[in-house]
Amino acid sequence: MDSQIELLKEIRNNAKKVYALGTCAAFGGILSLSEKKKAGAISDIVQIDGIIPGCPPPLKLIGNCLIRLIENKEIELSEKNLCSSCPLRGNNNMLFEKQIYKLNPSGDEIMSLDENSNCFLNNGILCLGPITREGCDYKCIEYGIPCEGCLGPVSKDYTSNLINFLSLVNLSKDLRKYKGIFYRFSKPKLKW
Amino acid sequence: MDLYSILSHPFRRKILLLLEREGFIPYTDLMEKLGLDQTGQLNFHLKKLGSLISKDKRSYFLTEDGKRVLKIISLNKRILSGEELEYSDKKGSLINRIGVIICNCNTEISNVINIKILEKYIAKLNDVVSVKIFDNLCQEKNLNKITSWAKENFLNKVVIAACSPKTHQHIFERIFKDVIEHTNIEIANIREQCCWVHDSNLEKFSAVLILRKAELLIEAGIERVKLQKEVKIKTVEVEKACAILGGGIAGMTLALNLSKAGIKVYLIEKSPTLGGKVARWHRISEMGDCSICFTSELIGEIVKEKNIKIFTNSEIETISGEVGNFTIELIKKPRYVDEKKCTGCKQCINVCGKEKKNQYDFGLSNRKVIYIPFQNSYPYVPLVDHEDIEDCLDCRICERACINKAINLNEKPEKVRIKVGVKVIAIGSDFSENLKDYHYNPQNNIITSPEFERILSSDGITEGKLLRISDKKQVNSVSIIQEVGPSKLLSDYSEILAEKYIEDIKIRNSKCEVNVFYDLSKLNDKDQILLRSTNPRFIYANHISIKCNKDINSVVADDTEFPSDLIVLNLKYIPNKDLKDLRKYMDFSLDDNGFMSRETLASGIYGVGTIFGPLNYKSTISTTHQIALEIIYLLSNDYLVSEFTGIKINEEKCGLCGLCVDSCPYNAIIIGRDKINIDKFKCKGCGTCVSVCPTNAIDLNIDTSKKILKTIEIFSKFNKKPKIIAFCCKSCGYAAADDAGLKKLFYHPNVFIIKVPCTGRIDTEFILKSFEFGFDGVMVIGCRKDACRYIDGIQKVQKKVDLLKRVLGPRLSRRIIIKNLNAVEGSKFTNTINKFYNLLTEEIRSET
Repeated sequence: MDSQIELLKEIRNNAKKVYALGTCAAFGGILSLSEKKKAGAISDIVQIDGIIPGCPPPLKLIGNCLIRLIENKEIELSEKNLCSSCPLRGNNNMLFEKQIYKLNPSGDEIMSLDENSNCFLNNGILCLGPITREGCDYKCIEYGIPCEGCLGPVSKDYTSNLINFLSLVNLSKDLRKYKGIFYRFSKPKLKW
Repeated sequence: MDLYSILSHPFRRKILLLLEREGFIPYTDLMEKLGLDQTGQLNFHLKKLGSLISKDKRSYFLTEDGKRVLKIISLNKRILSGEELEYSDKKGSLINRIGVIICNCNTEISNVINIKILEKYIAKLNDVVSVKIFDNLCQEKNLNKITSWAKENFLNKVVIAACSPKTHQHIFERIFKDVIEHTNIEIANIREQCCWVHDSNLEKFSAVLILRKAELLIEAGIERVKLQKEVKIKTVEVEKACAILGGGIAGMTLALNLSKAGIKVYLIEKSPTLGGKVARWHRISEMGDCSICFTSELIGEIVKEKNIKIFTNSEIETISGEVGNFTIELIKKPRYVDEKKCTGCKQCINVCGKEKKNQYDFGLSNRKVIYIPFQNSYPYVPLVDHEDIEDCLDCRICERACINKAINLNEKPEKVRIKVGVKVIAIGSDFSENLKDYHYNPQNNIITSPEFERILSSDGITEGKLLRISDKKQVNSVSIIQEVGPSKLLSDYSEILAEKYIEDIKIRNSKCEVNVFYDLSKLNDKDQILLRSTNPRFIYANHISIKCNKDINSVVADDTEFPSDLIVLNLKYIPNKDLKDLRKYMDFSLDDNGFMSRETLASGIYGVGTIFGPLNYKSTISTTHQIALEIIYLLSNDYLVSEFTGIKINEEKCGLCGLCVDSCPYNAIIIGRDKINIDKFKCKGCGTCVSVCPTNAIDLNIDTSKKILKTIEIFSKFNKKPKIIAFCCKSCGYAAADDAGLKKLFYHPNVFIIKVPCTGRIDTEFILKSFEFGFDGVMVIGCRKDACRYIDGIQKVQKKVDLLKRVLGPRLSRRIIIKNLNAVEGSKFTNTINKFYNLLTEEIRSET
């Protein structure tokens, strides 16, 4: 671990620009949920110029970022959330109180996307699309899996976004004990 | 130096124009804007400009001479500048010139803290131009001093350190009315929140702490006012006129009231005559007066008024504009008879050869194609319905019969455009239809209540006699079935109507048997209905049906048959069918029963009469008077200033996820497939939507998230532990804190109060950030659960806090408390704080 930090610091000293590539580098990632090993975002150790999040980072996003960097421009991430261009967007009805009782669809429920597919939230499955940055290629959703939020939040921090969001829905009692969903990719970001 | 040599250089012209546009520009910003990187060049030009510009502590500005010069050259400003000037709004264009007033409040402040040290600290802060101490800011003698001080220092923002905004905010806003925008006035409550609640004799260092708290309160105010952006204000000239849709009883009464107050009224009626439904009734139930006598008198009065312009036979095509200034386009359907030439001799009606069913007698009698709707209709001029013109035989005999040549069968629809300040909807309601279950057939003596009115009415079908429609024989038994129709809405109206009918029937035939039927299965509250009447003629049944026999029909109520000559179906009111069309032009929504919902009417639109549901005559008139007062009040203004202090949406960030729609207690956010809109009239600015927006696309215009986060940051500079932050809703929590201040109850200076519009505004981020900034405890103080001013803000924050406590674990979740207080519970407020303070002190001690 220490050698890694040394390496990171050396990179920072020698490089003009340092970007955190991938969700682990940007927020700490799924490994940070482990209580035995220490994992954290690199921005906690050195100053960075920006992040290119994603688990894995979407191809297009990496490509676009690289092109912008070559052109000597700052990289730009979308300021909207995933819902804005979600393939299921038309099938969502936001005007009723939702019951959320599942984290993921069960095996036989997973079906690839078609015209009649309903928004996950309408089916009682927790989809983190509303609080996640736009920019992936909707691979998960196309394969019938809800968004897990790997691109991170647009504004505020992940936990407060999620709590604000979940305060609007009826979360089933079973789900409330899973603490992990409140900081799935970004536990080290919580500082108090 | 002569003017021309000063103006000869493009840089100097640019400097002048920039100063004119932006007022005050600091030296460094001037460098940046001119694209200079050496100070020497700028110094040279500034020196050359000489008396045209001047400099104060921070920035350059134009002198009177400079303004005059610019006025002279403004005609060819562009040519002078030599090139297009590009103004960037990013940096420097919004310069903060903040003034701070500390009100000593008759030494109430200086008794507790050293006001000189406070002044020194504030004066050192960034962007503060001047600090002034007044003894009594709220006294009138100081007003001139304050405004001239603001003008002398060219202030555009002000922080007032004084009493609670609840006490004197309106006075301060009035003082600065012409000098500083009221959004740029921030009040730091150093009296109720600091000087009156902290005892300086308690601890050794407490005087220092109280001073530090006052400093931070003012500093936070300064930071907040710095972040305030311009709120756009729009002024609308008020058109002192009113359009009333619907010429029924309600519309006419309102028109008369308004016109007597000197307001121009346009009375727009869809049908060819004024009077509405009531004009066709036999009499008005509570008045005993025959309704046509009454309405014709009212019409007579309206016609006399010069301020009222009547459009009959007219419909609305488009409406544009906003409150104070609407433009309405009407289509005046042709009457085919010139109102001005016609004398009402009815010669044309006599000669007409084609008959149609008279819709004003509900199809029970016939009329000619050219006709007058009923006696006493206004205008009393025959007409041909626009829809009927194809049925006209085109014989043109009527044209020849008319002595005054008033008939023109080639008349075309006419467009009229009117401008008004307010619109009133008075189109009334309709009667329920779909009477299949009741074997409705007027020719078989099963009729509806409006038709019965026409039987009773002396100008109606039977000229007021109580006769069967089928064979014109006398009626000896009448059955009235109450509450016929689909709507669930129950009203007293049918009761009144039934009583009226019984009276009228008894007058005409005292031996006539009358039965009134209630269907218990349709009524929600049976007991109430049973209590309502003691009259033995009222029959309550679980199931009512009608049996049609050859010569006499009968009503079957729970297996008992009641043969009756005439069966009257007392119809329920249903929403007017035109309401749905009207929604295209006007902002309102429908309630559960399909009537207009009063709460959702946008400003500048009013409703009177039965559009809100069934209403009897007396209530109609009294509500009409109320609305008339409201309209007179609105139109008495020459200008309306429409300033929206609610939310704004940044569409570039909005992902249309709809979380805000879910959270809004007033349904003020409308989301489409690819668009989001705020209904400014419904939004009350509680900010609940702002707290849940995941992309920060929505923000309040005044209580922005940035301001609140900055305030938390400033307050965290306080260095005595335990630090407590209290989020108080402005209507209850903040008022309770003020109450504690007014009662001079004691609590520790470690508590900092942040005002939020509603507790629903509290973002989880605020709480997390408070812990991050080093606060030890977070309090949320809101309204009582059933009394939240914004419906359910306190429940929403409770949900957030419950979830947050789960994540935070036991140690931190003990450090968030939610309290429901009302405005006079200052003692509870201090008790809660002191208890919380002691708990935190002990915890911190045991930890170390």
